[in-house]
Amino acid sequence: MTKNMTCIACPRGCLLTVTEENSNVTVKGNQCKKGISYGKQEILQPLRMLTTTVKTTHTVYPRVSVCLSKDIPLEDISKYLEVVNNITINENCIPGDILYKNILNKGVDLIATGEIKYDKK
Amino acid sequence: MKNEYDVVVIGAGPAGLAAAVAAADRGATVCLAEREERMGGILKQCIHDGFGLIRFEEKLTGPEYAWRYEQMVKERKIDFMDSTFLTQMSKNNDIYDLSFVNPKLGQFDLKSKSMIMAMGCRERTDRQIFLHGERPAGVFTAGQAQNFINLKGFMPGKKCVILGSGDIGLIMARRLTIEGAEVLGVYELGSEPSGLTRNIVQCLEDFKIPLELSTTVTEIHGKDRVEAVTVCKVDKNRVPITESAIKIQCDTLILSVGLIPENDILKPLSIEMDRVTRGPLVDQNLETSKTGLFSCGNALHVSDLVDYVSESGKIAGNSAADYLSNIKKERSRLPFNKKGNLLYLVPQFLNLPSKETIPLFFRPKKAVDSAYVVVKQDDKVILKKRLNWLKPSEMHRIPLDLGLLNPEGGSPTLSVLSKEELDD
Repeated sequence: MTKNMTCIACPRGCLLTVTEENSNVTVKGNQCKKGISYGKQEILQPLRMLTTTVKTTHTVYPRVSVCLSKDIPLEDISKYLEVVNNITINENCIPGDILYKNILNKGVDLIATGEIKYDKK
Repeated sequence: MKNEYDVVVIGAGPAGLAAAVAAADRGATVCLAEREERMGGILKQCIHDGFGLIRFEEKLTGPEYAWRYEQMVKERKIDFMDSTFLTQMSKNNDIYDLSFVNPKLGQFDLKSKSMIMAMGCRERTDRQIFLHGERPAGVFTAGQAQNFINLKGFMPGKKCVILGSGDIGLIMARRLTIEGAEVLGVYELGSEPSGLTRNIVQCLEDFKIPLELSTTVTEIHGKDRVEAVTVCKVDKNRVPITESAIKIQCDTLILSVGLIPENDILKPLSIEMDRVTRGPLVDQNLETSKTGLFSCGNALHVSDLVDYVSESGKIAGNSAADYLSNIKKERSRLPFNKKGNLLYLVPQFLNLPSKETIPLFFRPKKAVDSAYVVVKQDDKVILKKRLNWLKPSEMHRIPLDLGLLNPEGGSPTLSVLSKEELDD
């Protein structure tokens, strides 16, 4: 199987030709090492970072931005979203804080990328 | 808060934040004025990742990138004024007189020895691309839609058509899909997508959203709410081919049709502007035709990477701090000419002599597989570099050692040439 794809490991966007033959993957067209690992992964199982927002109880900032602790399979995005969309934040957080551990028991955590600060009562 | 500062920075987006930090690090007293409630500018709503690969050598989301700079500003105890709008600016006897308005102080004045203008840019609207007619609800710029979804938690619509393939438009195609809306297609007037290639892949191809090139929206239907749009193929002169018109039922039209640097506040100062970038004409220190007034970030020229925006902010911050010790110094403004396949070049002037190595930013007029970038002064080649895959949608940055230029010589020229043109 041969696939033409655009490498998205960096903004340069090299045009790759990736061939899989008897579980042997060859990558052509890459200008750096990142292209090889991207091409290999992309033909075996495409991985993506999911970024979205979760609800908060904050009156001024009703959403806080989040990401995952690692890239997930492209096809699983909607499964992760079902979990993430049911989470509500009601305490302070800063970028890097873990908001939810081990989503779907897959060892992937939900990480805050924004700050939420509640006024002291 | 003081009555007079060494440096006042207008705008606390990525350019203004970097500028304030750089100026403070060189010992200047700095005041940072921001019209919104929080620092970060547009990064606050850019929740996708891919920021900071050059600046931090990490893949960050927009809010994380902004947060890092916010911490740097706080650590330096830089005076920050939120919800504050600059209403007037004039220069008298080497001092800038500024009028601001904010909810705490009402109308108030400040003085500053130098200014850093980091206002960023605005999105082009439906009126600016001649989409006239009724004004139904459901027409948004991509940034507006992004603000509604990511910051306020509102969905702008359920069935969306996106006009324009700028980066924010592509990112919103994915974002709307993830949040449960249906994106019927992205339509682009030009024959090439105007966003970064990786966004075409990650935002459209991943979610099987169709992209139609050489196509535009010619009509919006609906009175209270958008009910449909008419899309039309265009010929090579970008004139709609009426026979190709089709009506698409939808409730939302999202526009990603270009960004315009926001420099209205500069008008009364009669600063020389670049007609292509719509930012001021600057030298390598990002000083405008008005001494002591510096421009950076997207207000100077629209960048596609935030890392470059921060870089220009840092240059402006350093330059503003350095300016304080030689306010009366004579400046040379040697025009930096451009030739060949070149849409614009920043900086447009060089202040010589200088021993610094500076970044040159440019965009080509048309896409080419490879080209030579040549800097020449008085027929002497100062720099020659081959670049691959040039396109107008991707900005290029190359370093130039100004020490190689003759301060007594003529105006240097930067050319972007094909192999054949190079041999002539």
